[in-house]
Amino acid sequence: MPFSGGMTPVILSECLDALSESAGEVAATVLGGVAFEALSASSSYGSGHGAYLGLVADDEPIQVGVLVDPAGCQILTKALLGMEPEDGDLEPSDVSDAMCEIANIVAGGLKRRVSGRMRIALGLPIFVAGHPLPNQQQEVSARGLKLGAVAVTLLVLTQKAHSTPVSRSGVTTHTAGEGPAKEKSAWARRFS
Amino acid sequence: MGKKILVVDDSKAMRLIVRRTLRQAGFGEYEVEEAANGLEALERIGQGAPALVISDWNMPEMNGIELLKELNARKLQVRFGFVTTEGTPDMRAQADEAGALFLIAKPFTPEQFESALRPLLS
Repeated sequence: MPFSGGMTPVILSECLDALSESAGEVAATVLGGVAFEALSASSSYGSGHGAYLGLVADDEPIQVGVLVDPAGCQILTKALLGMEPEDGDLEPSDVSDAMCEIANIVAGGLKRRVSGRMRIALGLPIFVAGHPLPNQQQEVSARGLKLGAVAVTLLVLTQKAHSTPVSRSGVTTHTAGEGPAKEKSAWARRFS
Repeated sequence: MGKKILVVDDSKAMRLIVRRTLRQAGFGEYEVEEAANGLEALERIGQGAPALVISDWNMPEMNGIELLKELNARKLQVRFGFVTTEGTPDMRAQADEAGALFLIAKPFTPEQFESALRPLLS
């Protein structure tokens, strides 16, 4: 597994475990009890089609994603809305709304599971019907699972360990007396 | 207070899920009204107090805790609870302090609705 952001592989794995457990909860509850199957860690995240949500964990920005192909998004949306899989396809706005809600709940499950160790603020979810490309300072870790017959990839996108933090305005930021590299992030300190 | 439940959530999908869960939990006799944020909810409540408000926490315009505090400030007595993604101890404490009667974390089951809402609505 690649070393990502300030997060050690152990922390990343814990986050992916928490996200996976949370997805299992979603399957058992609001998706009407569809079967849940956790698959192994993966370095691939397919096309990237799905819902993303930004988090700030202490001072570390990360993104989580719930990636599903377009047909799978239709199936999960119908399950969420209590419809049958064979019902007619839903409008993109309904699919976006439902997939964002699933990402929101899954990310909220991560927050609940690690809340004793760190403060996490959830951002706004967004649905991406395309192929997002992480920039060169970002690292992607992924975990596969199945919700019923739908293949889902859970993704955590972090900043590479020795990359220079970039502010939201795109300006490289430094604290006085600090070099540009983050030797050990808040995430790493909290879990180490 | 009428036999009305007001569901406040910026997600149309979640409003629909809450409606369905209310039916599954045995509250099908209640008329369900919807609002997409706290400001819309205030307007609805001003037109007639529902038996219960079930609100999300994070919403645009006016979020759930701001809505509850505004209801308190206006001295509008209405039973109020949260259904939210983020059920952290800190948020539960804030909700309690503002007078929320329950906080149900998403994802939820009809049984959780039944046990939280039945004592309030019976």
